[in-house]
Formats: sequence, C-alpha cells, structure tokens
Amino acid sequence: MRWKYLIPRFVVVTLVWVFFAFAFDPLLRYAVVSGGQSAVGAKVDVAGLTSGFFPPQFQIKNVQVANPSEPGTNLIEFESMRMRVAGDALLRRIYVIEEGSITGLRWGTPRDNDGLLPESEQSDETDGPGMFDGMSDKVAEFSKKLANDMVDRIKGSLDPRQLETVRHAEELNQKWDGRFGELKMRSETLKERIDAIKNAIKNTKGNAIGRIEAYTRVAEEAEMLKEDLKRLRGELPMLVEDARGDMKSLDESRQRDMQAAKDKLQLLKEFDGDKLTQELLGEELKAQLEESVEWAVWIREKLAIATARTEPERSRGRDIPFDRGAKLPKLLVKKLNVSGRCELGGDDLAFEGTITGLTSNPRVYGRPAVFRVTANGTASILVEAVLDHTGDNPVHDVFVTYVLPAGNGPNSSGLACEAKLRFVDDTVSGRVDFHQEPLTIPVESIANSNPRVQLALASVLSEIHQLDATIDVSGAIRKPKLKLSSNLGPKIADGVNRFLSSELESRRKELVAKANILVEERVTGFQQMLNDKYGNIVQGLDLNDTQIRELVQRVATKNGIDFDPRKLKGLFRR
Amino acid sequence: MLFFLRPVRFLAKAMTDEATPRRLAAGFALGIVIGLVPKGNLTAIALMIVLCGTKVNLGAGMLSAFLFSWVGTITDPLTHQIGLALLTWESLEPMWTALYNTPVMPWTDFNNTIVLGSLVLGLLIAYPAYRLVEPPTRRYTPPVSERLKKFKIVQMLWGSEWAGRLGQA
Repeated sequence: MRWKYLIPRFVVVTLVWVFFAFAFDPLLRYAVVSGGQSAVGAKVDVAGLTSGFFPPQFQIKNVQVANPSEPGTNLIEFESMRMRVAGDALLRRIYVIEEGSITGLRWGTPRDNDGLLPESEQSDETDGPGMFDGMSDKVAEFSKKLANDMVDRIKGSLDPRQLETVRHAEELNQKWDGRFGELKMRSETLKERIDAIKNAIKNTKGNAIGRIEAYTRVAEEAEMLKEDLKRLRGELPMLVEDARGDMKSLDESRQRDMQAAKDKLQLLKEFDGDKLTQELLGEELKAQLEESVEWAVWIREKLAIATARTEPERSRGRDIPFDRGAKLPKLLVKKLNVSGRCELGGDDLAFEGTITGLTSNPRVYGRPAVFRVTANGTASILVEAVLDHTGDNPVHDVFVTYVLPAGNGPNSSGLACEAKLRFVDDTVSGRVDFHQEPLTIPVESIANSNPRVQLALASVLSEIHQLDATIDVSGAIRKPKLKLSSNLGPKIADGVNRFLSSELESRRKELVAKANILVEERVTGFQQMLNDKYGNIVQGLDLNDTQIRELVQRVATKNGIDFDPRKLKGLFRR
Repeated sequence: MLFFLRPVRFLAKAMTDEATPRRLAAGFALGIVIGLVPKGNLTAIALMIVLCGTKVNLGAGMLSAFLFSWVGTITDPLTHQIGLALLTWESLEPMWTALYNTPVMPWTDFNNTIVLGSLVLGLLIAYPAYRLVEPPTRRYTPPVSERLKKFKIVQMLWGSEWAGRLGQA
C-alpha cells in the first residue's frame, strides 16, 4: 500500500529532476538561439549553455551571431558569457545581473556559412566606422597642390604680354605707320607732279605764243604745287602735337603698368589661413566626424531597441502591475565586464571595459547606463558613454580619446583625438580636438617643376611641428553644423605669404626692370620712328619746295623776261 | 525501455487501481483546476505538487487536467473578466500588492487575469464537480476495473506479474 502511494510520486519527482538536470539547459539554449535569431534576423550559434540554481547563474560558450547584412561574417562572437543573477530579486521575478562578463568578444569575423536564415532578407545595416588616420598624407598632398597654385600665380604675374605699355606702343606704332605712310604718299605725289612739270618745260616746242601758253599752264601748276606744299607743311605742327599726346599716353600706360605690378603683389598675398584649413582638413575631418556621429546614431538606435519596453508575447490574459516596494526594473545589468579584440583602421586592438546600469527601465532605476571601454594596440582608445534615459528626453554624453603614440608609422605618429559630444533628442553638440605631434610631412612628395617653390614650401612645412585642429559641432544629428579651426592653415598661409612676399618683391623688381626695358625699347623705338619718318617727310617736302622754286625760276628764264605768270594770265583771255 | 514506460504504466495502474470513488472524484476535481490554469507558472506547478502529494487518484487528476486544458481555452474570456474584476477591486489591492512583493509569489502569475480567474473558477467548480463525479465512479469503477485488467497490455503495464514474482521471491 505504501509503495503504491510512493512510487508514482517518486516518478513525478524524478521526472522533474530529469527535466532540470538534462532538459532545462538545452531548452534554455534553444530559447536563447530562437530569441536571438528572431531579434537579429540571422543565425545565432551557441556551442553550450550551463545553468546553476545555487547561486542562480548561467554560462554561455562560443556564441556566434551572424550579420544579416554581410553574409559570411559575424555581427559579434564571443568565447564566453557568464552571468550571476541576484537570487532575492529573482524570487520577486526581477532579473538583476549582479555581475557578468563577456570574454573573447569580436565583431566582423568570418564564419563558415553565410549565416542567413531561410527567407531572410539582407538589411541595409552597416558596420560601424573606422578610426582616425594621420593628417600628414593630407598635408603632403595639399602641399603639392599649393605649390602648383603658387607657381601658377607667379607665372601669371610675369607675362609681358599683359603689360599695357607694350600693347599701347604696338597700337601707336600701327597708327603712326599709317599716318606717315599717307604723308609720304602725298609728298611723293608732289614730287611726281614736279617731275611732270619739269618734263613739260623741257618738251615745250613751237612758236612763242604756244610756248607762252604752255609756260603759263606750267606756272599755274607750279603755283598749285606751292599751295599744296604749303598746306602739307602746315599739317606738320599738328602732327607733332599728336605725337606728343601719344607719347604722353604711352608714358601714362607705363606708369599704370608699374602700379599694376605693385598691386599684383598685394593681391597675391591673399592666402587666407582659415580657407587653407578648410581646404586642407575640412573634408577629411568632416567625413570622420560624420562617421563618428553615424556610430553614435547606430548605438542609440540599437540601445533604443534593447531597452524598449516591449510586452512579453502572451496570448492569454493581461498582467496587472502592482507597486513594488523596491524600485527595481524588470531587467538590470549592474555590472558587465567585456573584453575581446577589435580591428580599427587596420589595427588589431585588444579591448576591455565595463558596462554598468544597463536596464530595461531606466526611469525606474533612476541612473544612467555607463559604458567605459579601453582598447590598446598600436593606438590607445578610450570610449566613455553615459546614456541617460531617466528624464523625458534621452541625453547621451560620449567621450572618446584616441592616442597614437609617436614612432608608430611614418605618417600617423603622435596623433591624439579627443571628442566630447552630447546627443539630446535629434541634436548634437560638442567639440572634437585633434592634436598631432610631431608632425612629419614628407617633403620629397612636393614634386614641382619650380625648385624655388619646392624649396620654399618645404621650408614652410618643416617649420610646422604639430597639428592642432578643433571642430565645433552643433545642430541636427543627421546634418550637424561644423566649425573647423586649425593652426595648420594659418601657419601654412603665413609661411607661404612670407615666401610669396619676398619672392614676388624680387619678381616684381625683375618685372619692373623688364617692363622698363621693354617699355623703354618701345618708347624709344616709337620716338625714333617718329623722328625718322618726320625727318624724311620734312626732307622730302623741303626738296619739293626747292624744286618748285627752281622750276618757277626756270620758267621765267626760258621766256627771257621777268616772267610773271599772273601777269600773263591777263593778256590771254579765253 | 521500462524507464520510459513507467509513467504510462502508473497511469494505467491508477485507472485500474482499487481506488476509492472519493479519491477518484477528488483527483478529477483537482485535475479540473490544474487543467484550467495556464501552465508555465508556479501556480500550475503548485497544483501539480498538490495532486502528487495528496492521496487523490493521480490518473483521474491527470486525465481531467488534460481534458480541461482544452476547455480552458474556451473559458478564457470568462476567466479574464473574473481575474480582471478581482485584481482591480480596490479593497483587494493592498492584499495583491503585499502578495506581489512577497518572494516567490510573482512567479505564480497571480497578477495575470486568466491565471487568477481560471484558478478561482476552477476552485469554484471543483467541489460541485466532486459531488457530481463521485456517485458514477462509485457505481462504475469496479466493473470497469475488472474489465481493464483482462487486457494483456494493461497487465504488463500494471506489472502485476513482476509484482507477483517479487512477492514470491
């Protein structure tokens, strides 16, 4: 009778024990895998899970969570996760992780299969960003551009074709060539007419009356020649006046050229430090900052999902909450130690850190979640984040320092970056400071055809031993306003401007000297041309004048009388 | 193999055991409560412990629990209303709050409307069910038991032969 009562009860108890001894952990593992897969949307592999009740704890080994957006890679994987649960809270159905640890944490690692679930779609999610590179490469690259720019400016200032005097002198030459050509033509026409009269006298034959008539016509023609010659001579003083005016305008052009050369020097000094900073570092730092902000947004979104107060899946009934004496949220991770390895900017880093105050209901807990992770490899990284969801508006304070000690790599040596950013709702504010010392810029990279420019720029860059840059950030997270300031731009601008000042001063003197010579040549040539051609014209006219006089005398001598053609004119009426 | 057959064997044994009609009826009534209450909480486990820990007929209890698990899905709207009325009854709130803050009690899911409602409903109909089931069991158990014992499979499961051998030894 006793056995009939005991055996069934013993069997039930045995079944319960068997369940907890052999089935509980596999079921829990199944729950973790299926829950993880539905949350991530990709395969979750758990090698083993063991749990204990006294004290309550569990340990998960070799977990791989596939990345749904990058088939064949893991979103995260870790070697071990151990959680110690608070027993008294657990009795009240509150999950408080007193202390936990995750070791061997890595992300982005390759996996044997694609890790996609059947019928799962690839999401657009992307992994986080890389890290800061050194600025030396950018400086070197920019220096080449700057050198070419400087050469272009200097070249532009030395082009003689740009001198007004030269252009004006050429115009005047053409003008006076034309005018003297016309005068010469008119002078030659006079000469031809004189020759024609001479021939007419020489060939005059016949009786006296006929000759008188012929001489009379010759005399009239000679008189007209005299008048024309007189008119032509009368134009010469005007010609001189015009030439003086042109000489004056040429001199004005020369003065303007000299002034323009001085002005050009002033204009070329306008290398603005802030503009150089913006051009040199703006795009790079902006890209890095945007990447950092994207990280922050990504973390916020993931955290929002993780801490969202989702109701448990329950098809039957409704849970009525009652006031708890102890203010504790449903889930609280008091302290979680994490360690593992990560790859940032090609650098494999070992990291470790702690996460405290991670909870499903921050308002009830009343304290923010704090992340503190340090990574050490070639570079040292410290990330501290205080995620405060206790108020109406979530406030996230993120503090990041990145230190790459000197002597690690040719271009990234001594780089330090410090970012303090605050995210409130959809706005971000804060500043990011960069400091690189010593700054070594490879001067040989400034290959340029102008050795003086190359030398000068190398000299400027060699004087820059450190880089300090600051970005002030404010505005909407998706499109923050950035204000960049740096010592680099002003320093380069200062050095370049100093070089340009001295270089352009000497170039200006050279230019002025060249321009003077050129202008002098043109002016002298112009004057010479004026003198020569004027002299020729006058000489031609004098000759013509002499010939006309002789001609008149000769006509008179031919008649044997005091020949006066005007008197003859009255004798023979027509 | 015998290890896995053991629960089935005990079920058959319970059905054909020379149990008193009162124990059969009590087991059936307790099974109704267990069947109505949703599983996966400490209330259901506690009721199972009661079923196993008392001298009520285990087989009858498990049978009725199985049957009323299906009935429970139909009565959910009713039990929800009962549970909601009780849990939101202002004068009872201090008691619920005290229970809620008592260790282990939150695991009973008593603050779930259907758990509380079905428990209350089950307890309310348990005694009438006992009274209703007891007379028929008194009348039909002996002939049914005798008939079942004739089946070879029941004999094997019951283990009478093994028990007899052990008794002779």
